[in-house]
Amino acid sequence: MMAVAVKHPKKRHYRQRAHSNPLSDHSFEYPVSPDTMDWSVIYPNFKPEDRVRFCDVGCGYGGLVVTLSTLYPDKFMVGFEIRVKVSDYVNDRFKALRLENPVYGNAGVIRTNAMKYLPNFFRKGQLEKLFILYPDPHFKRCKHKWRIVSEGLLAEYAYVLAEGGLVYTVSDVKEVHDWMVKHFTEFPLFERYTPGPEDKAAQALIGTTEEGKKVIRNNGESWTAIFRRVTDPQQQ
Amino acid sequence: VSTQSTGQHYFKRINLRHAMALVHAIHDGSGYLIAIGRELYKLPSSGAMEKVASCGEVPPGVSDCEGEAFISGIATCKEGIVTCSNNKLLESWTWQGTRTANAVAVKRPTALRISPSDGRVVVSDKAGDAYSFSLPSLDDRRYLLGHVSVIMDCILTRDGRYIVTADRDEKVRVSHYPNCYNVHSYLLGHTEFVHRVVQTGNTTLATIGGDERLILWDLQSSTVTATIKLDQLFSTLTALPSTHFLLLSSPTTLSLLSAKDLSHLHTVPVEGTIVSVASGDVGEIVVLTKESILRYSVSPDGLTCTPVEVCEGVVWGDVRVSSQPERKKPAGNKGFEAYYERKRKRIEDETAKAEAKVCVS
Repeated sequence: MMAVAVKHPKKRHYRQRAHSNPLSDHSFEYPVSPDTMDWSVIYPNFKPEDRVRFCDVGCGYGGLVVTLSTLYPDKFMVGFEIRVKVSDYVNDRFKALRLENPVYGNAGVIRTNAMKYLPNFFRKGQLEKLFILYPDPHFKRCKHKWRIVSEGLLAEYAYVLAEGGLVYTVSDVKEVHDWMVKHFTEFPLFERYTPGPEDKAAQALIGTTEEGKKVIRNNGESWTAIFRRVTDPQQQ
Repeated sequence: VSTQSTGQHYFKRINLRHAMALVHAIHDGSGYLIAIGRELYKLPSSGAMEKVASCGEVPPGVSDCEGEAFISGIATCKEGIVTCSNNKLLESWTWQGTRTANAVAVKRPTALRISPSDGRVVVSDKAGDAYSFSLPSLDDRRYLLGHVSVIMDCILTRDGRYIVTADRDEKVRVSHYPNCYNVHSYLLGHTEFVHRVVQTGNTTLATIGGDERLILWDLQSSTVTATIKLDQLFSTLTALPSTHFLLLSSPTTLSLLSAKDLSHLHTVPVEGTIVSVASGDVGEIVVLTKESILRYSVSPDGLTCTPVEVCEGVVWGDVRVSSQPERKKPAGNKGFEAYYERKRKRIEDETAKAEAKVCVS
């Protein structure tokens, strides 16, 4: 009689090129509106009145979402990943983790394009935390429109975040970090914020993700910046 | 559960080339401006048609204006007229036809509007951006907002408080104006590109899209109040001012609907190919076909047509109908099918090997 050990997915079977064109129409499944989204497909214990509160935009191999799952057991959280194989890896990872420990039932992944479909998944002011970790630099000027942080997209991030909600950004490329800081601080609905030691998410930022571990291995530096969604100064 | 599945998209440039002829209702109900090619004419509510100006002439030294110079957008206000042409030139004019200023649009414009609250001209473009210029000098360009895909239509609400932008990714975004960075709501319901938005009442909007649906929205609650499935892809949607009528046009027909419950009232065939439609005065619409101008009076009983006498010097030329935007093809997921097939095989082989090992030992 053989004991069945839970098989965890191996990354080498799920390798995929880092860059995917976010502006083209890949095949995605996404709800017409947040009201029509059935989250119970992702979370077995999701009730209709529950809400997803954290989103990792570009979650990669899922390192952060897995860590946050145990740090915030009472919150539902999701990672968005555009690449097929990588999101499939995270899906398999959660399946295996949940078999070992059902506590991971509050976290999951969706293969989708965060640049286009955030408002399809989340209602206005629904999110408490948004994570943008090690975004693709897209160095060339012609690729700037592919960047996940841009003047146009900040309005969408401000829309899905509740007032007082936080955006956590990390990059190992100084130019990208500076770009994000500049765009967020110049945007009227965000201000730079320094969380206190009680913010477990802030503590988990570096060292939990694939990218982060690689940076540490290569003795590189990571820069973090956190921003808070504030009230519109111009709104009556 | 209603989910939206898009197919593999074969990347093609969306051909949003506008018709080479346009009719625009003057903001105060005094008549219409008609653009044929690069010539701009005025058709007053009573009286003959007369020429106003020739547009699209690139000033010396300006380099960014490539493309044919036909008029692709018109906006009007008390102080004058604004036109944009296909070669990315924005021009402002007095009512007498004197050019007061010009500016170069960043990308090809898709809609041109005058903001009721501050009198600036608002431009939306193919790159998905919207920005505004001051009038009449067309300087002081301000970035307003950005979509990730083409903005297909853009309107300012009558009270001037909101800007509504409809894009190719099925979204209709309602943002505050002039603080457009603050999104008021998203109107979600279309399952294909949204190419026309009109305001039908103080707090209601109507939209049509590539999913052949006409949707009525309540602005305050951001919800759908009514929706109907149309039998074809209509090219234009026009709200008739001070009435509860909506007008849809296909290349050969005009359809009148109630703006309250979207019930169908009348459909009339039109001789020729319809290129542009506008409604200025109460109960009146002007239709531009490929070689004629037709005035219709509209009542709940029907539409009656009177052809308009075209003034001297009008050259129709090769007036084109604007081509329909591409719909996202719902083709199969060829790429992932191969991936999932390989994965399934890999897992099968691994399980077989593991079982073989157990047998041997």
